[in-house]
Amino acid sequence: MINFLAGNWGSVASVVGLVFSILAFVFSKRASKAALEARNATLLRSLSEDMNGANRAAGEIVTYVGMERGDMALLRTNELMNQTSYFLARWDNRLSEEPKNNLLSAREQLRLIHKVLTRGTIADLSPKAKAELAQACQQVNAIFSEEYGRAVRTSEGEVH
Amino acid sequence: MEDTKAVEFFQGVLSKTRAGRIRWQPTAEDSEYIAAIGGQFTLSISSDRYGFGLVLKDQDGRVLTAITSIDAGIEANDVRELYVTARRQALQVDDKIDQVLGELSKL
Repeated sequence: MINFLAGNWGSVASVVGLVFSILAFVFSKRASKAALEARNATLLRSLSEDMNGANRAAGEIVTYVGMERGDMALLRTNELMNQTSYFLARWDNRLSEEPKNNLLSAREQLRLIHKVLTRGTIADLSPKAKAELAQACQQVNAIFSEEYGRAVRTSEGEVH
Repeated sequence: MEDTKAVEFFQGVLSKTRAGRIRWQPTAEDSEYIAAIGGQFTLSISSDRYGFGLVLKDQDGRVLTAITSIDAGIEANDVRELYVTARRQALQVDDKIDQVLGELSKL
């Protein structure tokens, strides 16, 4: 055995070197996959946090409109419109068509809610206009609730 | 001058709306209905004292084209039909009428 090793130490060293190279390659692949998964999980958590914030803001708009606090509703509507534009740009390559359509609809709804709120006070609106405003606000809230749920589900799927 | 691309776009929206393939939604404005398509564009159809108008916007909210009933190559009746059909779908008028008919049949 010793004679064999002494006579073929070069070949043995090459084989051992090859085995270590293969192991190093396998482990580096695993480490890079784990790093990628960790990055995805962090991104998805961040998306669900964004949607959670938007969902809360949309809920506040519903409340303020219900209380006829047009000034506060307008403030939140403005913020949420800007946030939605940010989401569309920030998460463009992470979102599929349906959530993007939802966010685009929400932004258009918010634009029209803003238009109605800047026209005058909520108290001055006709009962029909008040109902349409309230329904549009509910619609925006429902969109962000749905998107928050979807983001949480996706991030949980990614983590597990 | 007729904008052939805009006319083609309008005919496409009208045809898909007739087929019920566009998800029109009511808004806070009584006479405006919206729809998002392809994850990139929004459509809005509205009515005012001057007539009806269809607007296409991109993902950044920029207006790409606006079509009204007085544009060359666009039939005023077609724009009206688009508005009426979009409104009907957004407010789910047909479903609600079916519901009323069901209630009426019980009387």
